[in-house]
Amino acid sequence: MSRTALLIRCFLVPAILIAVALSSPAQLVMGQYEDEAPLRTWNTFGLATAASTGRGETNLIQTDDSSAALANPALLAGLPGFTVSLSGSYSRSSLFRYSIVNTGVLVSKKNLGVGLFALDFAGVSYRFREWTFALTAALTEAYDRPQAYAESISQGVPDYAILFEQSGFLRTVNLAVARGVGSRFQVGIGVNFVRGELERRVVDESFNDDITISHQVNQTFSGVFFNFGLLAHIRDHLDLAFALRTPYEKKARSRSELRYLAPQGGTDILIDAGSDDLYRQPWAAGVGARYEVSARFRLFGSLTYFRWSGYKVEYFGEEETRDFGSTFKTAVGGEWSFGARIFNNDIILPLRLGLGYDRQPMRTPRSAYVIFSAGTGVHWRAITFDIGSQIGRESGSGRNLDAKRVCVSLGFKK
Amino acid sequence: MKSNLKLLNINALVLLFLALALGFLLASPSVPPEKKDIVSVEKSPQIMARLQPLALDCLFEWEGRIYILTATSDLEALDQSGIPYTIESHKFPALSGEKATVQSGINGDYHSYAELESDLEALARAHPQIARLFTLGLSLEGRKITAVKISDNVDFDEPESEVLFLGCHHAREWISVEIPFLLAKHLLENYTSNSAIRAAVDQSEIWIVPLVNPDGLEYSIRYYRYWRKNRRLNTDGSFGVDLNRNYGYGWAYDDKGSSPIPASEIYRGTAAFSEPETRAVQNLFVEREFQALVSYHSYSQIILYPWGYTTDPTDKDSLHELLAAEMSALMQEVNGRVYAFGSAAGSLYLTNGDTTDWAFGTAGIPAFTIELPPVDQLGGGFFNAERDIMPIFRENLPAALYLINWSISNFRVSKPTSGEKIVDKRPGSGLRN
Repeated sequence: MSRTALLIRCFLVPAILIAVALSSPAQLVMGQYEDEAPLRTWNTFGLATAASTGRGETNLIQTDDSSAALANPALLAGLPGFTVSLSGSYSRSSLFRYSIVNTGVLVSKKNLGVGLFALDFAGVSYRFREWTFALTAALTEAYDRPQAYAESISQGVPDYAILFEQSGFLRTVNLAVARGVGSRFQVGIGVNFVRGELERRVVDESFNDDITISHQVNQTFSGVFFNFGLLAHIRDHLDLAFALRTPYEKKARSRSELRYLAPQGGTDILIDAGSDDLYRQPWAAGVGARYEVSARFRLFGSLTYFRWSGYKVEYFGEEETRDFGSTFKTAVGGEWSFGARIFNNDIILPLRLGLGYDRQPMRTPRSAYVIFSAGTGVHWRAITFDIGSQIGRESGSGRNLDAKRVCVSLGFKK
Repeated sequence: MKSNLKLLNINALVLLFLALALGFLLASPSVPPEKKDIVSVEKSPQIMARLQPLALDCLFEWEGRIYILTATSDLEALDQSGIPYTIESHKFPALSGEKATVQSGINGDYHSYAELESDLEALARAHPQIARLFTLGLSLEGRKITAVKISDNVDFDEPESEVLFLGCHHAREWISVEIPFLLAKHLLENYTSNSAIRAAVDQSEIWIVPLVNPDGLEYSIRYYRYWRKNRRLNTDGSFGVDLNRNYGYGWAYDDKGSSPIPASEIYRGTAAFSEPETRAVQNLFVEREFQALVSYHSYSQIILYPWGYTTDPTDKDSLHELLAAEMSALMQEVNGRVYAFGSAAGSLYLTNGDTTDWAFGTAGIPAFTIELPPVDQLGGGFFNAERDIMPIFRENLPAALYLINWSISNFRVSKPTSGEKIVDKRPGSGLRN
């Protein structure tokens, strides 16, 4: 090792590390992974099924199924007369600082991951004269966290343990209607009912004196919002789209049980609390463009704005601080369709690629994901099978968090 | 045909925009109702005589106080009539109408930072003649460290005895916020009706800082109940400095009474007063001339006095012992609970860089750490049932009053004694309202 390298390794690197640590703010506010933060990203706008996932989540401008109802209901008017779709996914997200992990209580040197299998979308659309109706249900947000458990062992026997776990979800049921307006426009509107829950538990156990300290928080969520969409055929090969989601109050019925149990001392102290809280979700709006380069090759782009500066949280009756600013998410994607003949059947094989940038709302750290997407599928007569995948890499938190998702969709169109 | 299409386009677009507008309207929050507060006033003949003409919406009477539902104009009327009141809305969320849905905070009857700030402001607003709030500084995460000064002529700095009560250096010791807060509340609300309290307040300047570690308390409430330190992000990635090891007398004396390891529960910080929270207390202490200090902690049910950093006795051991014994006896009279007493190092464990060693070591004043109940872990450790808050306060009240009165009787005037009031010297001194 050269003297310069030695100098850097011995002095400069530690100095920089110390300087970075000193300049970092002490964090009560986790931002990226507040308890109510959805896994992967704060910026959810509908749900991308496999085809949309492969195109980089440019689902404001292009759809293959009734999931359009959640993002841009105007696109429903372009679907065949009857569609049924089912979609499932596996996602894995890595986290570093959340709840009591890496905030002073439990320490992890590496990022921790949480994986989630979910049947996350089911939908049906039906055209009646000029009108297309859709009923869809989607798992739009998940609040799961990597479980953390630590145990201290004295003389080969556990004498203390601590457990943290959290799980939760938000499900959206959407009822939408769309129609064509003249030859150039499609419009659509949807009403969305959200329901969900969150459960969080921290348990300390001291085995020697049989003392248990537990804190359990349960929340159930509900809310209603509307979404609107417009699609305009500008030229033969160019379409533009606009979509809007209204702000809404995600109401939460919250319960907390904080308990100290020491049977040997006859002590059982319970502090329980209940509250009707709310998470004031921001409005979001997006624009999209689709350009048909050729009959087999199309390009897509979308830009969505999320007004997170208006986000408000009331938790057990107190307004909580979230230092959020409004933000955006943008994506571009492409799709190539190839015809093929297998076992005497004509099939279409789409190939999809996408690239996205997803800026998270917290001001500190200024975190963003760059997302690469790819997908393909098999379309045979009225049956479609698609698969899409994404790999997102985060920058800003200093932890290089990642978010991966593989999605499989099955559809029927007639 | 063409015109029909056009008409359809316009109609549909109008419909879309109407739907957009409807959606926004439905999603917009409704206009909030007028804010109403529940306040309580002392039930005494004088107050009742002044209250009656106001024809306010009296709800009920409880523990010698009348509870009233008030609008903003009613509060103004109370102010104009010179009726001191305490805002009690937080106790009756279902009745207040302000937010009928909230039952209680996640920490039950204990104060969060926001609740404490709100209650201190309400106290100061209700008793402007004898209470004034000061912001001593800001915590690491920007929360205020608030002191309430209680004295007659509170806006003036009089040549009177000064006593300091501190709470919640350690985040998980929730009861240590309540006792000093309730002390302030008791002094203010009983000033007019209780001659002993009036005399104590008139002859002294009582400073109460119920929450020295607001960031830690919030973390303890929100994330982990047993959090102890402040929220300093240390250089090794661990969090927190033990604020009661960060004071400047005997700081880092050894590695038994405090720790140089950042992840330790008793990490003393990188230097004495490295933390803004302890500097806030230091600034107040330097500005004032306190004659006695109490810092509330839990648990152990014991009254501790210096030294903590060594088992050697101080040169005022007998005075400390005398005062502690008297306080302990007064406490026992209330609920029968026995508070042991003794030097910190001898009775509990070695501590260096703690509040009381510093107060005694630098100013030579009697300084006590009162470890509140329970006695041990099996009795609840850092947990106290909500129903125990008031009993613990009631037994600590006579001890606090005793120390205030002792300070008054031992106050040696070192300032001008002409009897004229000294103009407040604080502006620019570092204390902020």
